[in-house]
Amino acid sequence: MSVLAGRPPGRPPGRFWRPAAFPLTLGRLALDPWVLGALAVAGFVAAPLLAVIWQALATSDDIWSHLAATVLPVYIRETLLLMTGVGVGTFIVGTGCAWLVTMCRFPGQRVLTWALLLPFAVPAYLLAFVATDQLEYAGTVQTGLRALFGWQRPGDYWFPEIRSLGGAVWVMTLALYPYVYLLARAAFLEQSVCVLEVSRTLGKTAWGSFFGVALPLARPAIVIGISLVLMETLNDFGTVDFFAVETFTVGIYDVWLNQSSIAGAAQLSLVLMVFVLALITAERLARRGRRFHHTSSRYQNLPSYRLTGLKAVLAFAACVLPVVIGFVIPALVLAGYAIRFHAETLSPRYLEFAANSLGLSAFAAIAAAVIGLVLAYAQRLSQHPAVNGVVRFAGIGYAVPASVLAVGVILPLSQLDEAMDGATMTLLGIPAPLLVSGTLAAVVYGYLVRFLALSHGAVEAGLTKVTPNMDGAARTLGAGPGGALKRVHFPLIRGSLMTAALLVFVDCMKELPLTLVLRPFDFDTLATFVYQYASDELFEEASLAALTIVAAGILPVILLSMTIVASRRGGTAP
Amino acid sequence: MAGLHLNNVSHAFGDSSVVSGVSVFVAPGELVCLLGPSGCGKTTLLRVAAGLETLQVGRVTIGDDIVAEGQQMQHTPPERRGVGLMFQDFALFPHLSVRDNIAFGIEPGDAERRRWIDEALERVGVDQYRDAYPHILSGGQQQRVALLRALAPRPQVMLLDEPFSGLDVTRRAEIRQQTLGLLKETEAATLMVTHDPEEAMFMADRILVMAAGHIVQDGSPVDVYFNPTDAFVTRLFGPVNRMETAVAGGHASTPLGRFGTPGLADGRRVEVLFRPEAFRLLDGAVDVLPASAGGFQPACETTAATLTVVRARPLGRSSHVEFTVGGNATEEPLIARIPGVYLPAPGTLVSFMVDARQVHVFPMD
Repeated sequence: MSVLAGRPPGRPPGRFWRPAAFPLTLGRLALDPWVLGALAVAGFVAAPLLAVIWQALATSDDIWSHLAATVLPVYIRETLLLMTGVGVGTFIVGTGCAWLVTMCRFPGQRVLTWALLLPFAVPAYLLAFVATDQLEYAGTVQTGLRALFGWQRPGDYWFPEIRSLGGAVWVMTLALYPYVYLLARAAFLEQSVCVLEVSRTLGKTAWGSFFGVALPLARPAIVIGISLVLMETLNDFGTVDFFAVETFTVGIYDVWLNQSSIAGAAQLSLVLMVFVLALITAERLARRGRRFHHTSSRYQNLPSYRLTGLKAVLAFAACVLPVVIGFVIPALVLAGYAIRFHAETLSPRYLEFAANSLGLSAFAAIAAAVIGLVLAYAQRLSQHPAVNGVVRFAGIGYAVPASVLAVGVILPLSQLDEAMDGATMTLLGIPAPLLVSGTLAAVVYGYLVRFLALSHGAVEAGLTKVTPNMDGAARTLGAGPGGALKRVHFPLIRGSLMTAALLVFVDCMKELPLTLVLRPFDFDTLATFVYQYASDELFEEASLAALTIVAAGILPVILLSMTIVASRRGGTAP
Repeated sequence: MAGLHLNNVSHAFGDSSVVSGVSVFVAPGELVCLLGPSGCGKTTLLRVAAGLETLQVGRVTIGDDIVAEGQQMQHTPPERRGVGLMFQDFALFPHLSVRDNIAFGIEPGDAERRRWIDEALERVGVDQYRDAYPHILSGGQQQRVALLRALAPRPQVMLLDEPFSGLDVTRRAEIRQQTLGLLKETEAATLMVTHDPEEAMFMADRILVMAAGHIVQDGSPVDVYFNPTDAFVTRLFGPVNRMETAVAGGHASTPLGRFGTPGLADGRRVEVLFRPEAFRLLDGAVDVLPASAGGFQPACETTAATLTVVRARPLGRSSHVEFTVGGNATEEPLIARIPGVYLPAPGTLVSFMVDARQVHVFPMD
């Protein structure tokens, strides 16, 4: 008797349990728990945005005409100027360095390939604090120059004022160019072998190939990179506030907190969202314009232009300058202060703030990873275009500036608190404490809305390793959706989940504008502590905290660098 | 009733209908092949049977239980249907060893099934890889592991989606043999999808020919080969020679004989299709034909014809010979497949006769 013959299939005799069809369906969309979960998440993400819109339109205060007459033109002008400056700056630095590093050979090029990412670790506001500290009248540079040339008074010489729009443009360019650099570099690598080889054999010089061939082909990637840069520019608060540049974000906080008009803030937010919508549209259109490409590509020997003599020196200088100014000098300055003032910096308060930051960021990171997984899995299970749309929408938070998000988070939460207060008053005759607004829950909520796209993107990328047939195999072998997630998907995407959590963790550690506004009383993170002390001209005492933020920021840079180095060795880049 | 029953199943993706009104019945222990070109809806049908696609119209029954009813009245999820599905790309789990892959669908504590797995691993010859990971196995080894994985939970119904298409041609025959043996022992009702007619003929008890979402013919391999219902089915088994003519006196006349055309009016245009295998050499040797294929053969007379060879190529077990009837160079040559090595020089005159059972006449409307 063969091993395979024998008893009938091992299932209990009698009828299967016949479930009713899915109790809830919307047309052909089955509303199972996963889909409902995705819808709930999308609802949570939409709530702040809808709250802002509703508040802005429903207000009876006639603050709008007042705003329009006084500050709105300033906000628009300053914001546009800043965006233009940073956009152009990051384009030049990011694309230029990417080209040099990809297509040319010069001394130091290998190291610079990953070193150019280092400024990622330094948030813009930190760079602003360091720059101001060093470049203001009492700072190192001017003091040194005065000593050198014997100038005595400010009137004796001219030195650019760092605390200005121009200064903000410089600082943010240096802090944000890595976005463009990364994407441009990937685009150049992708196209490089065939197209540029042809271009070269047809006699084009390096410049010619760059402008005529590489740049146009890389345009979608560059557009995406610049959109991300501009979204971060709109989002920034620390830099522009410190430099007294009156952008929309500064305006929104000013109207809200100093002039106590949340309605006015909501209306300004609405205007800002128009800018953001334009950016999102540009970015999405650019994404569609890209050919689909495999991100796993082997490193190929590129046709490179060998640079010698003056050209090599210039290329090296052009690439090393952003790294030095954007990372090396800030790190050294901060380290110097931290050591010099170690008595003040290494204090119990520092440890308390560090613990706050770590705890908050870790919690948000894990939550974001889990929610990102739910979204990605719901998308995968349902395969319905409506679910795809909902999930895409839930990722909108990364484009929403923190100031708008803060207003949007506070609105529903304070309503909730008021409602509960009303309820306890009527039921128990006592006022309720602030249960949600002004609590850590509000901060985490804000973080999640903002960073969900990050974790969802990382998880989604990881899930591509699991083929649809593997899903089908797991299901026919008896594992339900939850079982398949546990036994097949999770083991295979563990790395991506950790990457997702890490990315969100680091961004939460660096986050400033949301935390400033949403945190409970007397609760500081490293970022808010540094900001407060820098504003009070006590920057040196916060240097250790700042250094910690940079250290946290290094982690994803290390990951990225390892990827770049690994791909160089001929392995597959993820 | 036992087995797999697909009743009047229709399926559409968006606006395009992929399967229309298909009914299939597979008895336990039977192996039925769905044969047809790419895009005819075979894989969709399989996925509907497995529960990976929600049934839109019709009914699916496995054993005594209705597992799916159209219009969302019923949908038993795949994990509760007791079907085994083997995918074209095998879909082995890369993070599990071979043995853990196969054991995925069985209860952890089931000692008897574990014994079965160990014995089966040995039997199919991948025993030494039991603790290895799937990526180091060859295509044939992966296919066997995938098959065992689907069989391990002892499903009532086995569904196979082009199980051999990813394998080297040289290994295919051997692996087919082994797969067939394994499947026949399980007494599961097996539905297999393929686009390779030889595979279907080898494996199936019954063949269902599908085209554009419909079942075109349902019969045994012999039936489908010797009594195709239309030109499409005839062509499935390979290229055919074609002659056009008009019905005259209840027959279609060609240089190779007159073939009966029952039910077709005189004057109707018909195409006469000759399989390359139909040609028989007449060189004085006794022509040994296999036993009668059964089925009704319309009355016909075949004529020995003298044909001019244009080209001959050896193909190993048979020879590919091209020739013309009239001898002029502009004529489209006919193709014959002669068993063995037969390579006459171009220009040779040879006598051929056709086996009437491999000639089919269809109207050309």
